[in-house]
Amino acid sequence: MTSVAVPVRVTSGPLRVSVDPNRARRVPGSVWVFLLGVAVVAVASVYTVRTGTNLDYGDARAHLAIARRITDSKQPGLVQLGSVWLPVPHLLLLPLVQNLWMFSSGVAGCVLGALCMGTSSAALWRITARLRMPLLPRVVALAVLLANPSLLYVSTTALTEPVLVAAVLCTIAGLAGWATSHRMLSGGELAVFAGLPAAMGVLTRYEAWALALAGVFFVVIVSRRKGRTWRASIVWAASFAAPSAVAVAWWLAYNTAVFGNPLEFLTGQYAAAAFTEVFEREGQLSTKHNAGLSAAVYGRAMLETSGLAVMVIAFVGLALTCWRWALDDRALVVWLGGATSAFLLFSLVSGQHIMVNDAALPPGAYNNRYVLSAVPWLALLTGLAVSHLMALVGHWREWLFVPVAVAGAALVAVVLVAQNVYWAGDPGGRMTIIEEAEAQHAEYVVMRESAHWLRDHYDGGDVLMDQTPADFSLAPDLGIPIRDFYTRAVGGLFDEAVADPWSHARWVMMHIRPIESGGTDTERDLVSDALADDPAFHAAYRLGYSQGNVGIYRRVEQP
Amino acid sequence: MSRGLVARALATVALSCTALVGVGVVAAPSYADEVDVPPSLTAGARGESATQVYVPAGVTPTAVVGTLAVSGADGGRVEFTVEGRVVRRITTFEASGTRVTLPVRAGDAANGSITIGVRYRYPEVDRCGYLPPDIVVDLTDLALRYTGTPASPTTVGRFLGPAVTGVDVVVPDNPTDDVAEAALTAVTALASRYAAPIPVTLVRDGAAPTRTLAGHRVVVLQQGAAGAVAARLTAGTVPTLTLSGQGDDLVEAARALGVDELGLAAAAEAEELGLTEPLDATGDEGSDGSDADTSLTLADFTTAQALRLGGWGVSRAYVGLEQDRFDGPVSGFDLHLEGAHSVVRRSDVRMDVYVNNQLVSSELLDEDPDLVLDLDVPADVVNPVNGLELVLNALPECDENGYGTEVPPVVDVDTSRSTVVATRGRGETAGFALFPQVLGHRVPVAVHSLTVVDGGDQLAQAAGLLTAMQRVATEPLTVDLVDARTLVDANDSGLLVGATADDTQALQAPLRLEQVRLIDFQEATYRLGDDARYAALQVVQDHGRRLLVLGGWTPDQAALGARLTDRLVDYVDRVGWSGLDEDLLVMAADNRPFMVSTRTLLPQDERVEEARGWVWWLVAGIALLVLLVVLQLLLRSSRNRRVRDLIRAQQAEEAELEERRRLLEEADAGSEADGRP
Repeated sequence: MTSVAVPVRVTSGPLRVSVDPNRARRVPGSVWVFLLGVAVVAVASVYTVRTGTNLDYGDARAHLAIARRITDSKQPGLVQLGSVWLPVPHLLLLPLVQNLWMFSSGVAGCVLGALCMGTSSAALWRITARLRMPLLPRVVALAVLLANPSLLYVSTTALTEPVLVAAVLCTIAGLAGWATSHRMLSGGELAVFAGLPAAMGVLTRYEAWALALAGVFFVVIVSRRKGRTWRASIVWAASFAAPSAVAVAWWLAYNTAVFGNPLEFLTGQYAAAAFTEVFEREGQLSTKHNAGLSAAVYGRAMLETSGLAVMVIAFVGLALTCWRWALDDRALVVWLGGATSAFLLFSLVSGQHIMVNDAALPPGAYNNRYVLSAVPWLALLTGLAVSHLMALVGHWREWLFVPVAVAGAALVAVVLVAQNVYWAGDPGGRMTIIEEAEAQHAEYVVMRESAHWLRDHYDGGDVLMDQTPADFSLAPDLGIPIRDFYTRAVGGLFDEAVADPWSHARWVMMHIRPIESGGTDTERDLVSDALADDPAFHAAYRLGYSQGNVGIYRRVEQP
Repeated sequence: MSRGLVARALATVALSCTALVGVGVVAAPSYADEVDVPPSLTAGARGESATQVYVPAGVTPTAVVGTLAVSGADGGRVEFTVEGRVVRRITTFEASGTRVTLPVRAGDAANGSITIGVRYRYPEVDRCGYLPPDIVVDLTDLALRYTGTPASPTTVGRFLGPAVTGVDVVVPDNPTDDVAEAALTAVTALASRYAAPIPVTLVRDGAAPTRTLAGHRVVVLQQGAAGAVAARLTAGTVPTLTLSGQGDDLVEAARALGVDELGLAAAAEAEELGLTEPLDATGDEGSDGSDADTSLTLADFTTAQALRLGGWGVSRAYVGLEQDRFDGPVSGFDLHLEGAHSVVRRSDVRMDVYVNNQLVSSELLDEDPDLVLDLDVPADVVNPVNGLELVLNALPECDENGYGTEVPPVVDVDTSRSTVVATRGRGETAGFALFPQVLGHRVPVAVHSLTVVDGGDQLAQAAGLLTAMQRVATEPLTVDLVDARTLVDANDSGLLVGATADDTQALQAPLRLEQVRLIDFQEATYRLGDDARYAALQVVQDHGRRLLVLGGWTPDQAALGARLTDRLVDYVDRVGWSGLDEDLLVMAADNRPFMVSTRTLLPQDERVEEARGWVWWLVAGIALLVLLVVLQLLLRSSRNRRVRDLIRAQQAEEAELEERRRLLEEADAGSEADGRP
């Protein structure tokens, strides 16, 4: 191939002949950005822990309980990870929940969320560096990420979305670093810097599986563009995919070992599919096979999570990326950020999961936090919008480069402030994630009071309680070591205790009237089903506390 | 008897008969009956509460009955008075209420009304520090028992008096638009004039009066000559007033039924029936965000010049603050209460202010006699009708001898200087609770048929709903009868009766009038399956306006849907507009109505299909991005091709130069070999 200097217009930034610092492994400022992300969530955590709202989501309480049960249970061990959720978030919480206070207060989730936000911030910072964005647009992207109240709130809880966001961003950062590196990275480096985060994501939430798959294609395409052979490109892709493959294999092996079914996480009675089947049976899964409604619901979730202005600017950024970068390597890095969104939209259309908000039929508030995985992508696109505008205007009139940058950054700042002020006016009505949290909080008040009563009156002797129903996911509020509980999570021991409560537990907490539900077994209280109408039980136990349909019984003992 | 006397007697009889055109007075045998009357009474621990019970002309009252409920009592007795005379004492109370009968003498109704009073006498304890109990005495569901034959009014002016106990508004089977509008206007005017439980019903010509009790009236509206509206009074079992006219004149005559100016018509027949003075401006445009006044005084909500509280223990004063008085929905209030109180030096006297049973202010009274309170009532406290309650808690200070050191306190809140400033908006009010204030006192009404169709009378259904709304409105509603299509396509809030599936489709209503299922709740299952017929009243939000839509559905388009709709309207009349909750009222075939939020509806196929269209926005966005990529790729391809051509041209030029140089060198070498210079 002949190289010749030709007077062509360079459209993608000034040509650099020296080593580009953005292509070196170290990206200046990463540590400071990490610390900034941690600090922002730490401040948010002070508020949510003080108000107790960090424990509003039942799922958050359940994640804390699962993590704690690995070491504090009548049947400790990894078997407590179960199959409902992927294991990494619980494993990351494991050291943090060993302290009973951190477990009961939910601070363990805050610590993990803060670290994840710090990691996400640093990863986004590095991605913007690899894309050779000027400083101000990089700051804009970071600001959009850190100024999102929905993401900040969820980061103070023990939900799994912050872990996913961190894993996704680290994976993209690793792939971006590999694609833009001025030297050829080894397969091992690719596996470590991109493959491992992808594997973490794969064992965090299923959206990351789509990113891992997209990453494989990314590696093949970029490798081929770099002049590698097909064989070499496939080897590169395998290096990237290997950790994820090992992770998936481990997960299948775990399901086989614990439940006897490698696909228990997909087909078991506690799987997500079982829940959506209930919705479909009730006629509420209207997004299934309806791309328009699915798009409307997903769009509404994004609107109430990220805001209209950010979405518009992000779309402009995406359009400019398509125009200026077409399908080159940097554009492909940007498109990687949309993999999780594409997966979620596909899941809605295929009926694999359900999302409900005001755009849904029927309307409600459920599962909207899934859309948080799109927030980093929108943040990146917003920064790119400013960056592309700077480049376009700068090439037209070089002296406008800086003013456009400042104006763009100022516009985004105004937008973010205005957006947050708007949301602050009615958080529960204008942010669907907060709306869902408030709804669960309202439903949980009675349960929390009941849990506190038991905590204050418990005098040992173990407790029989089915903590699987969502309203009985009370472990953090109970504040009692989980090893004192016979719950469904201890398998056969629980069945024995239900069959003979007198010999096993001094206390029984259950629904006074059995829950009549057409849904899955997770909605039923198996203790109540067995004992609510048992005269022998009521003769042996005295109702010590009741509120609503919640009853706490104590065994009648000789003084 | 002389012939002159007989002649005079006969002439008197003849004159009397001519004053009663049509059928003469039907002499009916005496009978006893009972008719509901509107007012109810509430009394506290001190003071007496009284009300007027109007007695229809010609009958002899025998008793007033009511339901007594007492709460918070600890001993003491309740006394009932008739014309100031104690007629009954009750010392045993039941909180759930007991039916009591208050005997009435014929002479008590000398002025056409009887004053009924209720008061509570608490056990007097002569001890400083004794506080009377905080009790509430309610006497509700009042009814008047009577004997005798009701006398018919002899003039138009006396046709509608305070003793009316029910009104039928009669329309022809096939009324013209102006007659129909006049009928609906008459219904709202009469409902505005006579509070519940006095029934105001729209019926068709030829139907028997709905009631024949004393005080019942019939108003007939019919097409007449253009110009002045003629009013003709007909005596009979039920006195009847017939209004004949056309157009706006007939409508205005119907509206005049709601005001006392009618009393100027002092004959059995009258023309130009209308108002001698114009009504206060009503029905202004005020819909959401209107410019109507948002600053009122407490005097606009109560006739009392001052709200007085006093004495030791607990005393209360209550004022209802209806949103409707602001001519539109409001989301919050700023209250400014101003008045005076007696000087308090040593005793513990506290004044609490509640809005809708929520404490919004608490002040200790002291030596400064001025009372000034400024309160902010937020959106989450505001209801369509709000209760402002002032509560004075006074605990006396006693000396060592057990004597009080101060006189009981007194607080007066000046209603003309105390203000209520509202903030426009809906706040947390939603669904049926937005009505009628969201209408701004003007109601466009549309029906699909003015005649009875398949046993369903849409005009009567509209009248029933208007009556219920009028009873909670603070001013008469102005009815505009419009075409159904016009209302559907317009931007105004209003009422649509007899809605079809196409209407609900056009309005994007949450409930399309097709088959529907509701979500089963754990607490209650609404038995509405796929093929269940139903009638429904729903609130439709359409680009900022609010429409009430009444309609029904049957799987085989049978007429049963119309009768279900009638029963739904009857239910609304029974519970009252304030008894409606959420934004959807459904009457199923089992006649058990229930109210739910439209958010509980399972998605109907029509709405799900409509939503498919959103995918085109996604497709358009993706197409745009793909287009941008393709364009850029084409541009790059073109640029790369130009670059390659340029490179090839340069290479070709260099090659040619090289060839020339080689040829020159060869030529030079050949010359040297030949020895040529």
